[in-house]
Amino acid sequence: MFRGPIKKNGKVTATFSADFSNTGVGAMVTTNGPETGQPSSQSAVIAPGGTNQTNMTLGPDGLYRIFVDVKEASDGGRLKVVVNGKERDADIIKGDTTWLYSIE
Amino acid sequence: MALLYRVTGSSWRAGRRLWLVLLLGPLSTAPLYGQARDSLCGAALQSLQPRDLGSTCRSLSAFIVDALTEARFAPGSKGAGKVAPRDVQPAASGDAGGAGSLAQGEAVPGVRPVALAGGTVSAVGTDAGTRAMTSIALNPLVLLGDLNDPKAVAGPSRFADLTLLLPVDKLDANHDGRIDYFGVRSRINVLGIKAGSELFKDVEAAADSAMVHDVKLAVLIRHALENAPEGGVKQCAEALLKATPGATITSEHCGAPVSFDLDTAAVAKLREKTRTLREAADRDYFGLDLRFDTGDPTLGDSLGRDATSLLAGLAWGRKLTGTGGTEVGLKLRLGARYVSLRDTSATKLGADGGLGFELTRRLNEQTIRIDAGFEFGYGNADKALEVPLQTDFLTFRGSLSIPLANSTNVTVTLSAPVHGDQSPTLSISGNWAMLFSALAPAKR
Repeated sequence: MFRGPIKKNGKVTATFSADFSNTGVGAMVTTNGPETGQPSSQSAVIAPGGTNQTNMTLGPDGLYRIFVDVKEASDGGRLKVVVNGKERDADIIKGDTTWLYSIE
Repeated sequence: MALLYRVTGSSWRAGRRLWLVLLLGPLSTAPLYGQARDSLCGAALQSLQPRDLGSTCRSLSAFIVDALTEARFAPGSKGAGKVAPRDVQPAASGDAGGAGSLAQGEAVPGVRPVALAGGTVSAVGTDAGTRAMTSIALNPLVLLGDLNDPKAVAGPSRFADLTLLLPVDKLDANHDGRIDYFGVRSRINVLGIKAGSELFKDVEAAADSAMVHDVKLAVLIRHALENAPEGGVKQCAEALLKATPGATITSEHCGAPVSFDLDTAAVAKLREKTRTLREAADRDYFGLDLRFDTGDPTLGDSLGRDATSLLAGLAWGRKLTGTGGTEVGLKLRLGARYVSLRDTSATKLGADGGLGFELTRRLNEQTIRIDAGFEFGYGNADKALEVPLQTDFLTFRGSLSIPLANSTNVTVTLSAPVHGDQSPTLSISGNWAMLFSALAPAKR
């Protein structure tokens, strides 16, 4: 899902809190893709009931993507994005999810 | 306007300023053109998606990229609803094998809990003779929930359990009028796989590859939007959203023809890597190892060895390799152990830990396990108190676990002291664990 623009050169923290009722471990990978230069990614695994996060500094342009991969379509949790210490997005997600931002 | 005003002068400098206007003109109007174009893109985005998702051509192009690519990340291939509790039961759950007791069935105990409930009956040979022990393990969080609901059991079955250890024969071998020994164990697994492993690097490399393609696509789409005729930005966006990958869009609203393709292979690889990472995470552990013992843990018939001991430690385990159903694992644990002798005022706080390797071979739903390792204790106790306190030792232990049938196995464990006055032991344990239902719950 496209979530809108995100602040360029911002420090972004993506946090996934998995539901305790999830049927297995989930994985989250976040990628900063600048228009020039190589992308960089960070990944984390999240046990049912657990919380984990990734931290990265964005570039001046391009795309920022969060991909959460869970075991079953009915698994989910709460995904939160904080930019420069301020909450940018937070929502309940279900099943495999992508959030895409344009870095501006 | 200021520049135009100056150009109206009649001096020779005016001609030079005219060149300046001609040179700077395109630069000075470019941002205005960009802002105007962004407002058209913003209006198009607003009409396509009423939520506030930005007001620039960058936002609109990212919106289109997401619409074109999102389905690759969630192709709907996962099951939903036809899951039985046994499907979510961890493949690598623990036995009720009393860590730190004579019946310990692993060279170095881990903190994987039993998924539901389990038990062990062990015959142990020591210097003091033959003893029998039993341990019963329960996963209390699972038992509190609906055992037929896979969502209710998946998380708790990986999290924690409680084990009770008791001798079976000669409950009062030293004839002091009390049961010689009982112990309680708790294992709390909070999952320990950490960033930096090869699996994480594989996931991140695959995500990078997928992103390279999508950034190029976003730039291509933005250029199309920026070059679209002024009144056709929204129509150009709509044509791009409806585009078939691989086809060339020749809509008059996008100006020049636009052609692009979607890299499905990169996302498919990313999905495969994240699945591997998730499964690997389930095979690793990290957590708390808590133990309480009272009595004589050696089950001997000597007086003066009764003690109360508490141990709190951290345990970590990881599967290092895994090909063809064979895996090699590393296990570590380190903690602090406090011992208080019952018949004297002697107490001791010491370190307690271990390092071991295990080799497992999975055959269908059953696993053969061979492991070996060293365990140590260090409390720097007085020589005379080393035996009853059991704080200063180095022991080698090896075990072989053979499956009998689903969720039952026999484990043979041998321990030999390397340092310290401990008895060598040989134990044979029968381990049993409950399985969850293999039937998916009926739709409610």
